[in-house]
Amino acid sequence: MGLITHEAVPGVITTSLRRLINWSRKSSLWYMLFGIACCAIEMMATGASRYDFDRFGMIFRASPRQSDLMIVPGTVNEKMADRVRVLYDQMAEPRWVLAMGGCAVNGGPYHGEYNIVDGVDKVIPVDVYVPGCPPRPEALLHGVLLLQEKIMREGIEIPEPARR
Amino acid sequence: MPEQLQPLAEAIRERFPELVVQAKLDNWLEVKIAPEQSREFFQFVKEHPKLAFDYLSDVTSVDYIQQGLFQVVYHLVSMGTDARRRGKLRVKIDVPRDNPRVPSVVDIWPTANFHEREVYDLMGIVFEGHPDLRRILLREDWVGHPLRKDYVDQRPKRPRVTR
Repeated sequence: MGLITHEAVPGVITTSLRRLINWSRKSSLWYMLFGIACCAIEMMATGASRYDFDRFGMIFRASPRQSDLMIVPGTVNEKMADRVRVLYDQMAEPRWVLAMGGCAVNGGPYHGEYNIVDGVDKVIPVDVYVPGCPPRPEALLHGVLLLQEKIMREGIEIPEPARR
Repeated sequence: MPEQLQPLAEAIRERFPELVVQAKLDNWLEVKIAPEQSREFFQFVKEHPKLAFDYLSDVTSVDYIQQGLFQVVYHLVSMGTDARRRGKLRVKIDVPRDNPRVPSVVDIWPTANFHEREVYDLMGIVFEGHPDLRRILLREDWVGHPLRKDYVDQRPKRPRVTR
């Protein structure tokens, strides 16, 4: 990776290598088995046979250490916010977050309520927002495809801690 | 009053003649008691052979801010009877808003443990004699009781996190 990061001018080999690495990352996004509330049902439905996640290379991993993607399905309240942050911190980079459903996007139907964090992006950095209550499986898959496009655009230099 | 509720109402009035027992929708009996007689009343309705209210379905409360009181509401069901003739009782206790204290019923119905903690957490009503009265839904360091009508959310606005 040192050859790639220190080369000033991107060449044919490095861009091809970049595209290869990005392709391999987007094609095997292992998401964390993490369901908070009702959107988790739709996430499970998306992972089931009709709207399969597996055809995108996505399988669920129970442990945050082994997952690349954290889909946050459901309402995050003050008590849960600390736990979500702990799990996010345990994920190894490269890692991405997809906020699923109105509650994770900005608090949804419970925006401004006591004990509700208005959107999970107040706790962890979010890459893709999928609105809906709950979003249909097609909508969630669309969000995942957008995330894949985002991953394909990434440079392949190792991210410094301040930049994420 | 529907005729299956008559014997229950009579059994209550026999022991507490000053109480007003009403029949409400869906075969619920309703009675309002004072906080001082609550433990005696609950012990009685649980142990009386005809009443036998052995199942505490819910403990909840209402904030009547205009009248300056909280009302604690207990829903009791007698599970021994068959479903069509099931005895159901709603008990209401009024407490003043500035010092809301009610005796706990945890030793009579252990399920009241969590219900009373929830009422304390969200309304601020203190249940005397509760073995472990602390917050159950909100964070331990939360200030205030959100379901009161005069509650104002004072949390600082959280900024969006980018790392």
